[in-house]
Amino acid sequence: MAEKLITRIKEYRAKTDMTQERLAQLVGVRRETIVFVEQGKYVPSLRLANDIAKAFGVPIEELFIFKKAD
Amino acid sequence: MSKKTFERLRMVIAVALAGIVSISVVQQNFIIPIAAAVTAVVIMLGARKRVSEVIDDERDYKNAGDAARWTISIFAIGSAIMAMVFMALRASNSVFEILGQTLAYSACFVMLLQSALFSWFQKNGGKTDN
Repeated sequence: MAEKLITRIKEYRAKTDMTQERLAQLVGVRRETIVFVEQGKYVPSLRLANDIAKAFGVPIEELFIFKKAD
Repeated sequence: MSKKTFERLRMVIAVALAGIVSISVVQQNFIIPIAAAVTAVVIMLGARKRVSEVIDDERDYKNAGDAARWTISIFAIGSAIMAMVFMALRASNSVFEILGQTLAYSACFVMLLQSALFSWFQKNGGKTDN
């Protein structure tokens, strides 16, 4: 069964007042990649997911949630 | 070097290379375009190292892989069909036979190369920066 990726990156960015550009710089990717990850259109590698979680100081499972598609 | 400067440089080099190749073809000189292409690659590699921003990342690599897979599939199937069509028409003109064979061998070569590289990557598996 297909699963949908839901991320809370946008929420955490708002909390920490961090721009997509800044997050992209911190984790070493292009801003567009952050946009796609935020929208759940791109499933990041374990390393990138870990780096993003580290940037916010939270565990990976706090940011990335897989939900079963209806 | 900023990403914007790098992109401008890439554009200038591409235009210059296209010009050099065009002139060389007209003058039937095949050494100059090869030398120009090698020089362009060296300049681009050098410039790439100086860019402080991220030029490409894991999403680009994934998309490049997907695009390559589709390209090979489309090329192989398209070439096979066209090769059969050309071979069927060979009685009308002998050029069709050469075209058909060229396409068929090209498709075989691309698939062989893809298989060899795929096997290599499978054996040395999963080594990635991402």
